[in-house]
Amino acid sequence: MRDSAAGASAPRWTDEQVVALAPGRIGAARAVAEPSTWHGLGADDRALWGQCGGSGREPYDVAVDHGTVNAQCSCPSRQRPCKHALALMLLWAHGQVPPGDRPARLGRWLAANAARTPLPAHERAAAGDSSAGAAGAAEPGSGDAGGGPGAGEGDLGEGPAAGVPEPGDAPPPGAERDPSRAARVAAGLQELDRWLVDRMRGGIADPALGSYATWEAVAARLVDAQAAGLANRVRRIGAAVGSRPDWHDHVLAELGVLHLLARAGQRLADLPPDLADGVAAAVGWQVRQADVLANTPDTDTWLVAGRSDTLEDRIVVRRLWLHGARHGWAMLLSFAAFGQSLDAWPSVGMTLTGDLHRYPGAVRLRALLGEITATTAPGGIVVQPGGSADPRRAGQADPGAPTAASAFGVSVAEGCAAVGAALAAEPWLERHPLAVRASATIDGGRWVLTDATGSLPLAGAATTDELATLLAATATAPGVVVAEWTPQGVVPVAVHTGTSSIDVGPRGGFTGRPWRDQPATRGRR
Amino acid sequence: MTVDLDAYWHDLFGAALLGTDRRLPSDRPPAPIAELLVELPPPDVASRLLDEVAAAAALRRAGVAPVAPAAPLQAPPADPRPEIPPAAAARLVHVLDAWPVLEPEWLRTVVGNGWRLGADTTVTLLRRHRTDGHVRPLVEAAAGPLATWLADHVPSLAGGKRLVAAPDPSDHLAGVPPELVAVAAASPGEVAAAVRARVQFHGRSPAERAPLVAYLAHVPAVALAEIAEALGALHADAATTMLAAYLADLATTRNLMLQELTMTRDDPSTTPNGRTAQ
Repeated sequence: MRDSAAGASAPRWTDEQVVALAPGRIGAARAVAEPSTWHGLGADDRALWGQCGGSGREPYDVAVDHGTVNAQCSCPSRQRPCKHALALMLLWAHGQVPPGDRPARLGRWLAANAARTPLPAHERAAAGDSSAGAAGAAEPGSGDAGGGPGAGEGDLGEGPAAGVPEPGDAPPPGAERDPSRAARVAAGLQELDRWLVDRMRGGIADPALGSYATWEAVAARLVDAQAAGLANRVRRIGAAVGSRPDWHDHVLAELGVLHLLARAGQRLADLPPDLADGVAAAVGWQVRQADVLANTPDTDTWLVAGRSDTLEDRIVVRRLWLHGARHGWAMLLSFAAFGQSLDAWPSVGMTLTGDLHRYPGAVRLRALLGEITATTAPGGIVVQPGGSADPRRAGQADPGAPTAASAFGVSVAEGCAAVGAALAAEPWLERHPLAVRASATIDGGRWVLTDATGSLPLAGAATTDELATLLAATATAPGVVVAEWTPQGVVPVAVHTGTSSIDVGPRGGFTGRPWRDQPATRGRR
Repeated sequence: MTVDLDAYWHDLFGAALLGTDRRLPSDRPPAPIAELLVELPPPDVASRLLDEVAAAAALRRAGVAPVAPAAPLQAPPADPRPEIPPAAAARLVHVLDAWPVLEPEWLRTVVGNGWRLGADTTVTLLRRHRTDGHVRPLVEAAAGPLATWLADHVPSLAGGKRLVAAPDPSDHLAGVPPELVAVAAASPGEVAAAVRARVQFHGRSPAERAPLVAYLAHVPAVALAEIAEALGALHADAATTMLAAYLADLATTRNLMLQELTMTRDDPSTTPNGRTAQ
């Protein structure tokens, strides 16, 4: 919860929100969050500042941009946020930072932060900004097309240890790369491969693989090698250990995929360009948002078909699945530190008419929103840029807007074939959407989506409210069920019937309330 | 040539589980796999196993296929009632979050006006009122046959032991100031004036809140709009103004809630299937 600080006009963070940024360093931060060791403290509606240090020591200049969640400090620590930035935020959370006049030296830094973290498209539209410099929903500059936080500039986390790439853009694969970084990545991939071979030699029944510390050590080495995408992947494998009875089988398959990426990542120049782009993204090479936005967009009417939130290493990752009648599937990624709010727009059931700019790769799922010329809220009401409803259509549904049931939805067999084709192109994909005209049923004690062509086992427990909602929505007639294929099974994320679009996607424990008590979001037509 | 990928994977899994130091994999992989690996002569048997695991994992993923079709569940009996309007469903979210005192009336109005609950609302309310002896029957009536059907297939939604009994019908009058009780049946203007006066002169007392909430949750609906307007125009000390705003939201919510559930299929603002143009 946020409340107004005494004297500062912006909503003040709580202690819990600060802790959520970097739980592992909060103890050190509290040790320096002593007002007597600070001077020159100040806050305004965008930033905090101050100097931390005792007598006889050069104080550190500390500043926090609480609008875009960035920090800077003159201390030698490479981690961001450092303990001094966290301490400053703790002081602010407890009302010990008075309002003040912002130092001039922060102006350029704040402006640069704002430029890297643009407004969401709907806010630009509301502001009447139809410039081509749209950058869509607030997304860090991550090259992780397949999922995972891989957060880039402007995102606070645990620093490199959490797999957050260091600030600074990397040129896209195929272009000239920093030779020193390329060498580090190559060395890291070679080391990973040697570790994988050792696992084949010693066996995956080795008790050491049952310890998360084993996986964390491998991930840390990959982070040092600037292969953050693979580091995150290794952590996810470690988290899967012991999660189900057949975890060895799953882990073995994932080790195989790691080997694919490790080998391919060392031979990017020898691969076809699209494949090289996909491999590079999976390894952790970033792609500049500006480069993505410079690509030729796909223009279509995009249905917001589904949403899923997952918690990955204290970062909430939201995937919005969009489907265009002409250009198929696309994914918007957004991130937030655990406890912070993600943008609620767009919501399941809406349609967006406009441009999507896709990240490079063989499958090209991940995209950025470009210029959006119209949105249709659930219910079919056309909303013009600027937020006002089209007066010619006030109170009436747009007959041109595609209904969910008519725009997409294939058989179970066709859906599997489409997913298989994507996985043949990028076997390391961890999620892929599919939309099937099917109903939920029980088969052999497990829940499945079924139609005349086959069944898909659902991942997760059989008694969650999301599953119950899916069951209820398709009880009398099959709807279009949008789901995420994952190696662990299919996860339903939305149900589209003739009259409504219901968001049943996982919420990753985001709000802190028991998952099963979350009401399904209503996106009614 | 077809390859039994599952059998091949089982063999690889066995070798990988124990490790090549203890167990060697099969000498030669199936032809399709061997062709994939022909240009990658591995330096040792562990590396070869890793190559085969990688190739087989990729092939298995690309070959994702459904299992046999399953028998669909028998559908619940048809419910001819139209589904509640989207606006009403959205209003319920606010009611559940801020004004649960209105929930029983919302449900009674759904049932009384011939609506039925949607899928997600049904699940939410069944979960919420497993053991509520007062509201659970209202939910089941509003959900229709779907409620029983869902409870059969999702046991955690079934009604539990009824621990909460129905409230006394006169409970809402407990603690209500006599002057408000006296005007409950008066004109909307008189009711609004009485409520405003009570809040204006007694609003600083925390004890006023609960009885006023109960009163506004049961006052004749025709007075709600004027009550909301009267309270919205009240400006006094901070505590009184906050209470007035708080109660104005209650009156407004209840008023809109009842309006949204009173629209019928003959209403020009209601689209087919009970949808309401927003």
